[in-house]
Amino acid sequence: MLSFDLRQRGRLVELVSRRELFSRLGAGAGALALASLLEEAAAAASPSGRQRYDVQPKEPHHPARAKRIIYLFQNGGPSHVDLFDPKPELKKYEGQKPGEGFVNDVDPKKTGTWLGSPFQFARHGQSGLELSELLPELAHHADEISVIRSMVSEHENHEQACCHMHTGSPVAGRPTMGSWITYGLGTENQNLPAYVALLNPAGLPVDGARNWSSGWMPPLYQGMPVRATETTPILNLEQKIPELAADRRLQFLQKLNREHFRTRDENLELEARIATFELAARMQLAATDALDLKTETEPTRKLYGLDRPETAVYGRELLMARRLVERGVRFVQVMMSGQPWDTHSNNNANLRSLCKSTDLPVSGLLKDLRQRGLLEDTLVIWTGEFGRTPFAEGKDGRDHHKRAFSLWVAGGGIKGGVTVGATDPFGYKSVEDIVTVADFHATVLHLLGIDFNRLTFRHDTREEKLTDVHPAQIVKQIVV
Amino acid sequence: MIDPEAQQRGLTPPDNGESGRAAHRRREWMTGRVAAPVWALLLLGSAALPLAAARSPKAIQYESEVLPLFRAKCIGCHGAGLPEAGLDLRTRGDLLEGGYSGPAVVPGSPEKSVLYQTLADGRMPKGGRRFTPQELRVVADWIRGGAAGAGPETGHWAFRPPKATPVPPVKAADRVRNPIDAFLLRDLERKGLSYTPEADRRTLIRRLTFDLIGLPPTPAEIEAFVRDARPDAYERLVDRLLSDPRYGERWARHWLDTAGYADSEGVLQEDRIRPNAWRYRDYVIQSLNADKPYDQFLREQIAGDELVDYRNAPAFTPKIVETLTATGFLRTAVDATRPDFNPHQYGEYQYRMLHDTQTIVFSTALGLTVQCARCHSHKYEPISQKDYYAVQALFMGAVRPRGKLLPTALRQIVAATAEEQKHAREVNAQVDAAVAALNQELAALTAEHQARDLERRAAEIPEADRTALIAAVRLPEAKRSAEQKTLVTRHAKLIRTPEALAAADSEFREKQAAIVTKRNQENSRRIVHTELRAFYDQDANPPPTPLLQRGDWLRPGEPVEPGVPELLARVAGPLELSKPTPGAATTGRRLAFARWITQADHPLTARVMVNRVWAHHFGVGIVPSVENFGRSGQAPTNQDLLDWLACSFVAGAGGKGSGAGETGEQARYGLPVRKGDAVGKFRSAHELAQRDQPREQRNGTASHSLRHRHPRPLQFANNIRGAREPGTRESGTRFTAASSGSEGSRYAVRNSHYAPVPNPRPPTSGPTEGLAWSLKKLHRLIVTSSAYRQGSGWNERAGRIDPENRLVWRQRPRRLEAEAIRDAMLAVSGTLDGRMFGEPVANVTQPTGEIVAAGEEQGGRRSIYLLVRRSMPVTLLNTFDAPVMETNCTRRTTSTTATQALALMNGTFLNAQGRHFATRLLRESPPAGGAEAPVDLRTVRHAFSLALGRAPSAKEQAEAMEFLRGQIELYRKGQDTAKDAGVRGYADFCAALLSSNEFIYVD
Repeated sequence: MLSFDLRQRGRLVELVSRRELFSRLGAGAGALALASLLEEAAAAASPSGRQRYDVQPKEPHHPARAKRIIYLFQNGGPSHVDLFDPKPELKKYEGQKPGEGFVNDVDPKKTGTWLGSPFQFARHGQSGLELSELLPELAHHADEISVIRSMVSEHENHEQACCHMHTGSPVAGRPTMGSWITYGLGTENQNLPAYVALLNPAGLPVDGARNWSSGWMPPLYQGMPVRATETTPILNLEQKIPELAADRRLQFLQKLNREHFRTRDENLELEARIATFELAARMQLAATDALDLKTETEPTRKLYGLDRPETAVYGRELLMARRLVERGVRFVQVMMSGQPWDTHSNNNANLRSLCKSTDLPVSGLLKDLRQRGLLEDTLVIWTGEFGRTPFAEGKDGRDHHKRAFSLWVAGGGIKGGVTVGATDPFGYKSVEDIVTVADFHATVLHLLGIDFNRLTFRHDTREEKLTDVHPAQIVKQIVV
Repeated sequence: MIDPEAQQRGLTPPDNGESGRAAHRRREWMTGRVAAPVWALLLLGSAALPLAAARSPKAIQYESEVLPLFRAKCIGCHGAGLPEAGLDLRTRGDLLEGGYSGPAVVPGSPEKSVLYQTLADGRMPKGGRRFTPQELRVVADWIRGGAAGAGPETGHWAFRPPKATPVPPVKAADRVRNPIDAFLLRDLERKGLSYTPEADRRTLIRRLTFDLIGLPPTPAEIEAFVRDARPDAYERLVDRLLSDPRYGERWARHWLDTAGYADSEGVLQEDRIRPNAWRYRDYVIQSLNADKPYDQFLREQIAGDELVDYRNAPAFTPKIVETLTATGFLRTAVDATRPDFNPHQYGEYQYRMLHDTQTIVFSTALGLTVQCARCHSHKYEPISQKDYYAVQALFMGAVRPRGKLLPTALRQIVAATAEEQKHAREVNAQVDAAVAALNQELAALTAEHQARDLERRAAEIPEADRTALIAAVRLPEAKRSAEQKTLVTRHAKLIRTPEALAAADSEFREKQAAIVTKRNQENSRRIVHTELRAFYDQDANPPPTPLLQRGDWLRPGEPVEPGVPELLARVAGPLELSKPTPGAATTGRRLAFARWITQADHPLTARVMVNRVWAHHFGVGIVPSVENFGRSGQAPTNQDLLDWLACSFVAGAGGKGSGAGETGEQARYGLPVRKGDAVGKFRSAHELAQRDQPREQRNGTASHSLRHRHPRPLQFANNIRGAREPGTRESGTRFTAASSGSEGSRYAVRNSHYAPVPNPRPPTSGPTEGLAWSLKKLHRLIVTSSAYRQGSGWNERAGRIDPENRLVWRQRPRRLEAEAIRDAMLAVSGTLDGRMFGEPVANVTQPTGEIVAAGEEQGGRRSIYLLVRRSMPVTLLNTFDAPVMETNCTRRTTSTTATQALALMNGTFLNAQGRHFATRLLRESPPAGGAEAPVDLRTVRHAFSLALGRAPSAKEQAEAMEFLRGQIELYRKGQDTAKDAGVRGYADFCAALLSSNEFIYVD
């Protein structure tokens, strides 16, 4: 199901007939219950194959270590030398101009002096994984997470680097990782979206909807935006008129639609549209339930920091994320508002407050997933789009930095307590076991049971892949 | 994976993972995506290897004999992605270029060719599968024979000029309204099929009205058409719709999709608004309404700045403005460069803009995907990397991707002559000075009166500060010392604001008013010239255009001369380009390209456009891949039809598309006509500048000097007659229009200060007449065919034989596009604001995160006037598959999603329109029983008629009545809803009609 026979791919005729139903059957929030029924009919009627699209669950290429993903995207570019990658040298040379070969890619004129991190690093757990004092809660999970210190990106602007991290290319227009995964694996709960972009109610992240776009794939595979609020988390989920009136209206509408369909019954697109109304109605219940945090116990709410003003916002996002994956949503991408990690000035104070509001909820999520037995097959990813300069920007800031950054992963298929790769003594450049974005993507797909080379989608004239034309290899060190 | 810089700087320890990685990559390619064509495998599998010895070495061609061997054993590593050692074997061109260690082949000498030696001694291919002696012989003979290849291929159907075959006779002669039908029926009859019977009139008018103007027909229009007994009732309807100014709005949307139109710059989060982009949108609407011939339409968009002499014109005429605005077409690509960018970012963004522009121009006008050739010679199309940069050179006159010019300024032209601009600067300087003086005067006046006021209220001021404060306030702010400022700030509450002072002090009020009046008078003298977003040559001799290795702008290679892809030059002639004369203002490159592209017998231009128009009328193109006519695209389902249409489209234009013999065109662009010009062809501003130079300078030293073309006879069948009518090319386009048009009033037009420009000439051409590039005539030809007028019902037999309806045995039911859905809802609810043109309607993000057009709940303008901000797509439109512009959208998808269902159930827009519709309904057809018994059959029927253009069936009627009764009853029981239960009930009824499948589908 994942890779398609070359001979079947040739033609892409836009038609309205039985055979093409499925390409248009983008349920957006889940495929149709009747899809499988129709699929048989269509397969029988259609010897040549126009590619059909749905989000029915599919078998992976090889046994999957992880079945679902919670992707904690840290917009702005978290400072690796302050969080995951201790560099005592920086402190030693603090205030000195970096030598030849060290440059600020954003603006060479702004290459400041080496800026040490004021934060203490310590070893944690049995593994002795090193973490900054800014992450005291995450430190409890030192033996569960794997840190990659040798990431590299290709672009020094947020937009392109985010785009690269999400789609495998800095040029916008390609599908995001969540799209690829839901295209490849479908989803387990047809009454909920397969791919959710959980948004901070304070606002969109930088680059907005591009972060969960399906690019040139059908909109079926785009992330559905869900705002982590108590009211209207999903657009148009709430009825605008009293419930009983809404039900009657829907019934009347469906009568009109069925009457219209009666004389056009070869047009399965019409039937599919009738079915999407039923699905939408079911989703109103299922999603409302999934996103309602009232049923959570007090200890659980505390675990995520919902009882504290500084952690409540992110905690709510993460608790919703857990509720969604628990119900079978394949890919939950948790976004922050704007780009909080973009610490151009006042780096230290900003990091302190950011960690204060996120460290506890993240740790709470890991704990909660573990308690519920979900961590075994849920992959949790924590990453930004790049790192930050080890030298100062202005007095006390750090600029964008593509040559080195750190990320961590935990959960399904991840060997805990491992640190992969290394940067040079200044944290300027990844030098050991360099991991590219393509390597990272290939590894994520691998953990989900997908061979990144075989998950292809034909666009224009090419068989496209998440890793695009970039060679990639799986980061074996972190895989169980 | 590996950072070359790191290794250069010696910061990186030796990468001991490298060999493992290479091996990994090889495995990946071996097992992965590379698939040889079936024929290549068969060739090997059946051991039918060519016996080189049996043939002359010269006969061996790379593509047919050598490549299959490489495909089977080499291309896994030396192919897509990052080929090993930089050596890519997929095309002969790439192979000859060689890899990191230089050329792999020395033609004529296998012994000197690294490639052959490596194969012969078994170093390659790695991992076994050595070349057999026979295979080696093929390679050796091929090299010895000169390493020949087939070269660019002209055999592909789309690269040969269209040829109009005679109209075939068919059995179902009664269904033949024009040759379109003959070509389609010929193929249908071969399969024993024929057309579906003609659709009924209600279906026809609904289909036609949506197709041509993008809105539903009104009940009155439907009834008039249904009752029209004249034999040409249908043709009259077509003509009426084509003359409707909303035709331009409908079809401009299609064009703007493929042109990649947006009102913002893209790429970066800031996604800045492009202040003047909308003028190009209006240009497209106006040009389509004026039925500007398509060749002229294209030429203006590609080379408008070279057509008019705006630099020396005595006045910026509307024609000049229009023609320059047309070049907005080349300014639609994302372009986020700012003057404050670093040079390295500047280049990156400018090249991205150039690349996107090339993609847009080629996919729009020529139906070719060229973008692949940016990094390497195209793997599927006969377009080399050199071709790609030759095309890029065409645009280089206007762009300096490596320069230091301020990029923002380069995107605009001030629509005024140099003299006017100078005058404006002088006047504005005077105004500035006068305004500054008045502001000073006002400040002094205010300070004095504030001080006086304080003196009057001295008791309120603490004694210690009293005198000092009053003295400080009396000084104008700029003259106060730091100490005084602190003092003023400390007592800010005591000091009256100018507003409060004006209210209390009549003397101050009057003096203040006098100064403000003077200031307003001064400001009104200020001269602000319109700015146009345009693409124009900076000068005649731009720096050379380098080929970029692997598409990387930081790795410029050899300079490339401007030109068109070699293959196309072979079939359509090379670019007629002369070296600019000294002092010339433009390069003439885009002009030559525009001429080249619009020559009547160009193999692609006309075909691509008629196919696009066809696709919008039938849901699928004759070539289904409307954006790709290349070898990787789809074949036409009826090439004779396509070619006949293409030939008809250009026939009657009077020879070459370059406007031959048309001094009228010269005059149209405000250029001087001289004796002798009449026999020549149209001369643009660029060429007129050339003409004034001595001949030897014109032709002499140019490195890409004039290449003579041999005119080829046009291959029109003799069943196409006609010539361009006199005056066809006169444009009725105007950039400002006044007074309201009667056409616009049908949909509750409000504030029609922008009026539709009346269409000057309804098209009248007969079916087999040459259309002289007239798009309106083309529409007329297509929509008056029996093919178009067929019903859309299913037919079991035909469905079995041709399930995809390739042969067009029925019309195709279609879902409306996002814009048409929104516009139709507004139209039916009576809240469509029909004003045309002007600045786009702003977007607003709601607290729910939904992005809507500002003021939309009260009604709205047509969707084409909504701001297209790339980062803020209007949610409703986006939900129904309107594209988010990254480059351009050559073909829309139609999806069916639960998100759409939610928008149609609970969306703010839908529910607001339901209420508006109900209000209109109850006004136009008030229930006989009034508020007491509001359910009235007549009202229900009127609602069906407005929304669906038909009466309800008895069953629907009964269901509707039942629904309304129950719904109103329900609302009557509710405490908050009892008061307006009737309106609420009808609003739900109306909302259901607007969200029904029948409303958003056309049969």
